[in-house]
Amino acid sequence: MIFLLTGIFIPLAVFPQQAKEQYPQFRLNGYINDLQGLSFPERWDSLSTVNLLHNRVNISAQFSPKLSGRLELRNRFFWGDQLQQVPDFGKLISEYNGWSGLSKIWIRKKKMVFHTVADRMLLKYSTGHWDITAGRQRINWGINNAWNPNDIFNAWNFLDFDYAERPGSDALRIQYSLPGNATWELAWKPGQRQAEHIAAFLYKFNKKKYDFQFLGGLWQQDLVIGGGWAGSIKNAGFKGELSYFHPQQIRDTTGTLSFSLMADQTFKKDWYLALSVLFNSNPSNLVSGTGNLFGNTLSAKSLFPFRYTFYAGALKAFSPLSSLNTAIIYSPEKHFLILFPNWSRNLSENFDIDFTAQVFFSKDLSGYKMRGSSFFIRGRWNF
Amino acid sequence: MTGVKTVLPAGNLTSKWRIIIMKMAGILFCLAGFIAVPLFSQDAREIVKKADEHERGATSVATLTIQTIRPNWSREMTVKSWTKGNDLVMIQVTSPAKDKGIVYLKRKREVWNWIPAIERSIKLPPSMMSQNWMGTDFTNDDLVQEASIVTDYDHSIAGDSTIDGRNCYKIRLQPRQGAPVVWGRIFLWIDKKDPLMLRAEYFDEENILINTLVASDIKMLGGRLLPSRMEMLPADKKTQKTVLIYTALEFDKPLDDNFFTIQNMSRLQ
Repeated sequence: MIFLLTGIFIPLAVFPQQAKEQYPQFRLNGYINDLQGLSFPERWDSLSTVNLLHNRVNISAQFSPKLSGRLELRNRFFWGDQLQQVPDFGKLISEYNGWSGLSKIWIRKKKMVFHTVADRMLLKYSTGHWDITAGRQRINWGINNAWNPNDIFNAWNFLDFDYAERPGSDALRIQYSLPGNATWELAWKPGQRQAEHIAAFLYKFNKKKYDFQFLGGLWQQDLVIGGGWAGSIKNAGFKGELSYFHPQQIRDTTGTLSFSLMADQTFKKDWYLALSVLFNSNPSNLVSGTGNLFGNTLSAKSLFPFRYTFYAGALKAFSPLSSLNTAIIYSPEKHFLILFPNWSRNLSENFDIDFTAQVFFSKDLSGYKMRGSSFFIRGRWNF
Repeated sequence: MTGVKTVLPAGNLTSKWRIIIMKMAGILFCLAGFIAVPLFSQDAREIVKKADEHERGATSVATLTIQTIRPNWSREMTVKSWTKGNDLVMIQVTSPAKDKGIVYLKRKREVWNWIPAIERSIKLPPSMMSQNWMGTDFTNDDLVQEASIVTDYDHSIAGDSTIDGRNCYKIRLQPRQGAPVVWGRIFLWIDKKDPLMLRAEYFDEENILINTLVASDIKMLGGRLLPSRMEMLPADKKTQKTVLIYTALEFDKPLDDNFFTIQNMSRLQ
């Protein structure tokens, strides 16, 4: 499928220079990253490494004033001994919970994997108040910076910092805008099995300087209702989201509430602080090793495995080109703690480097100790 | 009164006439003084309003180049902006590649930011308004003009001066009680002949000069005479500045209010 699509899109994309009023119009952009990672699982003397060459190609097309399309390809070439530590790494990263695969593993060796996935492939028809989108797309209903209980279609893992675009969903989405900055939305993500469908509505509106939203629908084997807001208290932003999941057999009493709150504010000297808390009424309390950076199975129903998790983020911009962004995630459960600093620097108009660390601590029978740490250096060229 | 006395041409006048003229002048002077206070503040407000309307139009669509200049480096970005009155503003970044597609939307006092990479709009906290916009010397407030220089300030004429050979009013803007402004006060220099803002000085609440805006390269843009180049100069950093250059401008093109919505941020290309 990918071959077919790239075959059609790319030759057209190479010669797109037509007059503005003429259709189709094509645009091409993307980036190339190289990420070098070092990991120390529990002990500092057990170093393993991975290098990831990561290329993203975004092709968008405007076929007529009302019809547009997007194809976005994510190509990743991994090599290093760290791959051996993850059982069947190639299979893990190529799993895409959707209606169609749209992915291909080109190389699948013990220490080397090359994989391509189309994580956006959609057609969009926009007319007047209507937007109708079909295909692999991101249905982003979240509000909070760290945890999004309202992101019921395509939850994301904020530890996966090398995937800003985040996964998409194979879905049909109908949006209708109302006057005064309000929107109705219906979305359906067909599952491969009966128990995997997600279908929901969202109503968003703005009142008294607050954005509000309500959602409800079917979520796999559950019914879901939820809502959220984004507003402010004095100079600070104040946001919240909650979703309640209940099995479709109403007599079943094992519902799950996922609820997050957030406040953020900027301060003098280019400081920005954000605080957030996540409540999960049905925690698994499972702690995996090093954050599982390259694949995950999390959902809006279980964004983090603990009942309470706290997030504090501080961003300091030293100059427009250089900033330090530190996140601390803590849960009273096993005193689970993640330190997640990132320093980034822009070297030229389209070239950036950054350094990132993720260090995990928790308590078990053997005491409180580091459970794993990873360090990354990354270079990125945007085109 | 002594001031009036010294400017009178005394030589050919009898002392009686001198006294009458002095008295009349004194009355006129006092009257002028009484009238001038309300009249001048009304005028000052009208001058600012006229310049603001001239610069803004009923609607405007503009393309701009923004250069951030520092001693050791510089960066350039291009943006497209749409405005309707003072309440509705949309700004889209068109280059560099990394930031392309980022959109800012302002509706009255609220601001949202569309981030294309994550396909989500983020509502900005009010404190973000006084922060620098995308690394430039402009604040978010300068760009989206959350506060109105017409309705959120009280105006008075503070003097006259000449900028690039143009005679200008110097107008003092003092924030109104409870207005959502980030400045302690502003001085504006507005051309007496054409309604052009040629210079602005922004002071914080402690009355310390923070930024100076210098407008130049006056030419016809979108059928109006306007400065095409603005330089924002931070007072405490003498070696840095941000330059904003209008490359195209169109006024009074019909734009529906529903163009300025969160939903439409994702539709812009």
